[in-house]
Amino acid sequence: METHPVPEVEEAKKGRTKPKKEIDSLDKIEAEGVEELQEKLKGMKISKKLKKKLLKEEAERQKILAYDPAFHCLKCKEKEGIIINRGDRSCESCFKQGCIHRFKTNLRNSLKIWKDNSNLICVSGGPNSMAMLHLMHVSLFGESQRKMFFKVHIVHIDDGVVYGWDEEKRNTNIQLFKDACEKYKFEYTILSLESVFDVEKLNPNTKEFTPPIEDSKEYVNHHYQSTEENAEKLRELLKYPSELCSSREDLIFNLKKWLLLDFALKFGFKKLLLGCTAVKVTSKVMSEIAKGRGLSLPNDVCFVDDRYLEDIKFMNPMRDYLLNEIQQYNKFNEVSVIERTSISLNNSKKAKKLPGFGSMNLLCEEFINELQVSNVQTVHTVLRTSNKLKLGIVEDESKNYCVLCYGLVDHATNILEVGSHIKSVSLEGELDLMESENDTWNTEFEQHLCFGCKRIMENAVDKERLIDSLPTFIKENAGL
Amino acid sequence: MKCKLCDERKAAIKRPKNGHAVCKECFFYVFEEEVHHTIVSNNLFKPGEKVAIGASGGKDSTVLAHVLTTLNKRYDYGLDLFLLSVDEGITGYRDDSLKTVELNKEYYQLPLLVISYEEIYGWTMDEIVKLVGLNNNCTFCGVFRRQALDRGAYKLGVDKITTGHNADDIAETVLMNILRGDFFRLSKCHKIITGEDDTMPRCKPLKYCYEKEIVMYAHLKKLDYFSTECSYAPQAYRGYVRELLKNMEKIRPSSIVDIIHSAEKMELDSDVKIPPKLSCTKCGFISSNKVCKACVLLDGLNKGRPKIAIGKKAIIAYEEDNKNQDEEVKEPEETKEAEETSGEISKSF
Repeated sequence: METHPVPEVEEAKKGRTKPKKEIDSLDKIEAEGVEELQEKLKGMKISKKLKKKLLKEEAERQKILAYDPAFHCLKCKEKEGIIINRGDRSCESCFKQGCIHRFKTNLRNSLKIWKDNSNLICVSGGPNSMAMLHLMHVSLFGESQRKMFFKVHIVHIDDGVVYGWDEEKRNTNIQLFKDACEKYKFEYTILSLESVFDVEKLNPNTKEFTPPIEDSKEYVNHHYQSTEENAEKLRELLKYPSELCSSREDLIFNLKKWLLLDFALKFGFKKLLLGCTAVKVTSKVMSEIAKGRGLSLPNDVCFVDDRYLEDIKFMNPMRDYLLNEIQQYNKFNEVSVIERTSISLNNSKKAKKLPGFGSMNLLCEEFINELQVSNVQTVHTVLRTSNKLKLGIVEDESKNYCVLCYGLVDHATNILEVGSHIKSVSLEGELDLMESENDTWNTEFEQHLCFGCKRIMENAVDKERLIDSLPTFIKENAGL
Repeated sequence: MKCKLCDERKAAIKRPKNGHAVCKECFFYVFEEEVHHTIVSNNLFKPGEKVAIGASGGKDSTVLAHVLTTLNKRYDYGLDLFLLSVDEGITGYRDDSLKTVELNKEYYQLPLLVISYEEIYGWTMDEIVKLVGLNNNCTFCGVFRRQALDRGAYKLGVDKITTGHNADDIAETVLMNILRGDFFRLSKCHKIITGEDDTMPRCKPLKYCYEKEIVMYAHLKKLDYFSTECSYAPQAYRGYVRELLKNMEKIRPSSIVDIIHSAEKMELDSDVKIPPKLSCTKCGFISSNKVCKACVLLDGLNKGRPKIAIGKKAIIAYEEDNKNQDEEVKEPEETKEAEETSGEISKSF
């Protein structure tokens, strides 16, 4: 039997001129359970306030006594914990609240968004970004205590061409996206990935871009259709990068980024929110390192990536959400998503034999997921490590941005990083040596690329034609 | 098919690095020349220096010894080469591999020094494993070997130690450090010369050599090397990473050097605190604390409680423990109490 913590009460009453008498007898109450205490308190002269407090304390004490970490929710300690996350159990309502709370904290503390109007949410339609859309809706219009005041606009890129979808499938997916936006009362715009061929001017180095369209609301709830000619151009372009090592996926990702940048510049958006979650970010860390993109890696995976022109920032508010959290969240909130057959870009026989189907991104994602099962801290450890890396920004004219991926242009520290430095050997043992890395990366275009993108070019099926079929503005940026 | 490099002889092998079909002779020559390029472009050696080759008897160090002696003659580096081996005292593994090193000594006519854990620390790995089991034994071995190599090098009076770390090893370490969150080691594990500002620098002339090429070189040259895994090495975590790296290499062979390139370009943020460089107050060798890890581990072993010495806060516990010991000599029964107090101290820290 425990006695109740009376000293606190005495402490509180000390300041008063007339101490109440009945408090003295309180430490003699011995009660187990709220009801018993209530019974015992009935006969005593105690202020209502104190009574309430004591009852509350007893209830709290009972709750903790009954708490079983292997069964109950860690937070409320009452309901059954049905979700296990990083070893802790939580119930449905606590889990939902936690997700929303973390999202808001990230917005406030890491992204510093609370009252801007120029936020653009980029939604691909996958589970991550659809969850973000729902979270955004709840943070802005939900019934929570701390409301947020800012406006958002949603943008969706229709990439049906890449996946080879027919008209019907494309329309269903677009309808699904539209329905979601209407349900959450957000304004939206739909772009087509092919439109990247219509981008007039966007140069990361000279900072030139298509002038913004002022006072125009034409983009609201608008679907920008592109021409069949552009779609054909895109299909042509995607033939040439190597099907291995995620070259194609990376190229498509970068094209999307250019398209979003162009859209943001045209209509004056400053903050672009992406839906990358922890597993995505972690596997990106691994795969980017393996692709030789270590220099721009810290920027690609941080909360706020601010290397872009006109102070445009790409942000990852969902950076610390785990995969199963997103899945659970979507299940509880009945969020519908666009189904994609992950990376259906790889169909050749050679690729099918290789680990991860020849895709570096997929291989790393599988690896991280596997490791996460045996050690639940893996993802968070990698996230913390990536936080400690220095962000790369162009400060002076000696450095340039890559015209393909907006990363920093970097060169091999030693020529042996490129490959072998020996071109040929004569029978007498005389060597024909390479002078610099440019002997491997010999086109004018490659001089404007970062190490990772040079590798894409090097491994391309047909380098010349790949360069040839790139969007005009990219070629212009490289001086072609 | 003709060799891609000389265009005369018949191609016999496909280079793992870039997939070129080359003849044996060209492969040997190019492999050695690439190591030469690594050495020259990084200024690894100065004429007249004494250099110790860390020799375990495995493929990497055997190839390293072979290539260095060849290049030393071919390009007249003017180096004095020594072989330096560490005997951990693992029966069935190290005693056999040391025989291989003996063979190398004969073959290349290099002086050899074998330094054993037993003579430095008074413990062999066999004894340590008996005490600690198979879980943390690699911690002891790794920490002790680092210092043992240093001690051996001083004994030989050399200026530098070269080790046989290859590109795969470095890439693997980079990935490991990211997964473990060891940002400090991440920032220096890729460097070709480490410990330049200490008295005993170490370098890795095989930094850009693929493991597959090293095996191929050793195999085709018919070098004597020892290829058994250590009998005490479970290294499950490293095994995962190794498999990942092999898979990456399958997808794109250049991945390995790409990882090295990435590590080369990644820098730590200036806000991040880096542990200081000190020398151990007890043995004088390099350490990042007042007392080096080797001394702490050894102390744990000698006191019969090695598990505590592995923990992160062991150094603080060690200092505290030794302070107490100065005041009064403890009975063996009290050691358990001391353990508890040291545990508390580490928690409060």
